[in-house]
Amino acid sequence: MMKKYLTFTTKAFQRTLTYRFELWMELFINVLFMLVYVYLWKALYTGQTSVEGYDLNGILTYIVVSQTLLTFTFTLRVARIIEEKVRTGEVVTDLMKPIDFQLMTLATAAGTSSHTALFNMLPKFLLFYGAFGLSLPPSLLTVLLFIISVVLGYVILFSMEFIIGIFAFWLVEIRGIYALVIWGLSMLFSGYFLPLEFYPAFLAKVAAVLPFRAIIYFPTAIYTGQLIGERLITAMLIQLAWVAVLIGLGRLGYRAAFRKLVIQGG
Amino acid sequence: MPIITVEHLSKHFKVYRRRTGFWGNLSSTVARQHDIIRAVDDVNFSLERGELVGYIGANGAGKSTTIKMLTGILVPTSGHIDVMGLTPYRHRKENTRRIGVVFGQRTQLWWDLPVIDSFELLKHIYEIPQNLYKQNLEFFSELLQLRPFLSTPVRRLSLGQRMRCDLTAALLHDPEILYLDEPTIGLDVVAKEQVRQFLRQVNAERQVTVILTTHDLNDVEKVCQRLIIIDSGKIIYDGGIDALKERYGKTRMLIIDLAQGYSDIQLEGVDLIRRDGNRIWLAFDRDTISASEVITQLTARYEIQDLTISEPEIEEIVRRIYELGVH
Ligand SMILES: Nc1ncnc2c1ncn2[C@@H]1O[C@H](COP(=O)(O)OP(=O)(O)OP(=O)(O)O)[C@@H](O)[C@H]1O
Ligand SMILES: [Mg+2]
Repeated sequence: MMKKYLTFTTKAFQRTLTYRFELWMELFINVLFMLVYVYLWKALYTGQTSVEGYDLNGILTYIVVSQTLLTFTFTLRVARIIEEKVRTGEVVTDLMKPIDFQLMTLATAAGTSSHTALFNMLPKFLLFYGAFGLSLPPSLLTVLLFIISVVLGYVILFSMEFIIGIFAFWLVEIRGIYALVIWGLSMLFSGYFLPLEFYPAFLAKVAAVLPFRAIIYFPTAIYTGQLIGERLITAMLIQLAWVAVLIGLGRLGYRAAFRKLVIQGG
Repeated sequence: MPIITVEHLSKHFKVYRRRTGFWGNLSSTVARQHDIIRAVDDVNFSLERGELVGYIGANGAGKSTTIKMLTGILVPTSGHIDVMGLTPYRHRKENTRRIGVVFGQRTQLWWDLPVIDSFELLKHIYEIPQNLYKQNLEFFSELLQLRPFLSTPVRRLSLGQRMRCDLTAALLHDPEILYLDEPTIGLDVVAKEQVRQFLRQVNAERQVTVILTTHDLNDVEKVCQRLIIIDSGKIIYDGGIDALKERYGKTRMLIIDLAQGYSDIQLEGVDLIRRDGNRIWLAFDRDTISASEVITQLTARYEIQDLTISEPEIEEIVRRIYELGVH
């Protein structure tokens, strides 16, 4: 049962190998941005020892980890892929197979993203880790929790893109919603830009009720050791809750979309 | 017992009219007006296991709409469909396991992947046992000569190669019914012949029930035993091809080159089918009027340069049915 979806993952993983050039370009641009951020923060920290509980090394670690995790956001193309499938009518061929559309899309995305994690994110991280003497998570358990949290955050990001993609069944154009949610709200509230501890109180409150911080801030703060004990457990429970809610909404969405499709035709 | 039964099947599409301009937009938002398109309108037929049926009709006649309902990706407005005891749109997943579908216009293969990878994905999706998969892959690769491009990405295949792969993809899981919507579209003569040969063989050797739509009547004549003609959503003919020829083939066609372009051509017992400059196409029923009578009439009234007479091809019969309906 699970095996059929895993095949999508392995095929997507292999397929990514064929786009070497695109991969290198993305990596190159991302590394430039990371360098800019690192030097910016170094400059901001001159004469300071600690801000909101982050010392220079802490903040650099935070920036590099969160920037690395951000790679998922700009390499995940789920909304665009769904939109394209709807536009070309290819979605009908998916509908004609004994397979779950949402799981299939997730399995495929996971394949591409595993490739990204292994051949883009990991080397990038190691490079910065070596060059700027960043810190590692406090314990092996933290590493494990960090990885779980990254995966949960990834599924949340996926679910958001999936829901946005589903809008394509009703709207001609989803680029607007995509830009608003992924490049607007997500950038602001996911904490990739700076730790949420730095946010003014009202913005932090808004961030707390939105799912975005569960994508980047939670795993990064687990890595840096900002989230520990009870707060760490709460964070992961919040992640799990968002996974359930957003996967559920996605399912409702695509059921409605398919119902529309089978009644109104392709 | 029939494998497919369709009773009083209809599909009506609502098409909302869009008015232009601000007020037009506003009023069509408030009170949306729509037209009803009767794409399929009270259709009845049934297929026995192992039949090979051609489903034809002019553009927009309702062929694809019917196929979509049979495969379960479109819900009928009214009527019943029974496919192997299932109602396709209600038992979509179960139905899809037992049918194969090919849409000539689009591929079900993964664009970026080598052909063989697509087949492997299908193996997992349909949960095909390994030995059956190997056996079928072997069989189809041989029959359709797929070996040279099994490891080529689908996007680099020619249309003919892709169609052969799509046919294989639709049959790997041993479906009982194969639906084909324009499987020969865009293919050259050789490729078309290959597909036809293949369909005959699959039907004969594997007892797969086949229903295919096409605009190429050679497909029908060379492949199908039975023909269903749909016109504006209604079935206007359902029967053998020979019976069709027998029934409508009494019509003879006379092609005449007139010496000058007469403005008005009037003849008794004869239909003017087409006119192109000085050339006219006349059809008449050999039971009501003889060829010599027609020619006598003609020569009495018009000056003729050249003349040929022909027994209608299936193509011609069907064209007349599309244009004039069934008489
Ligand atoms: N989703 C839809 N919404 C509205 N009208 C539709 C829809 N799908 C088909 N139609 C209309 O229904 C009628 C039948 O279409 P259909 O695609 O079944 O024709 P067809 O026989 O397959 O034609 P062709 O030979 O051109 O493929 C056409 O008038 C078409 O415009
Ligand atoms: Mg069609």
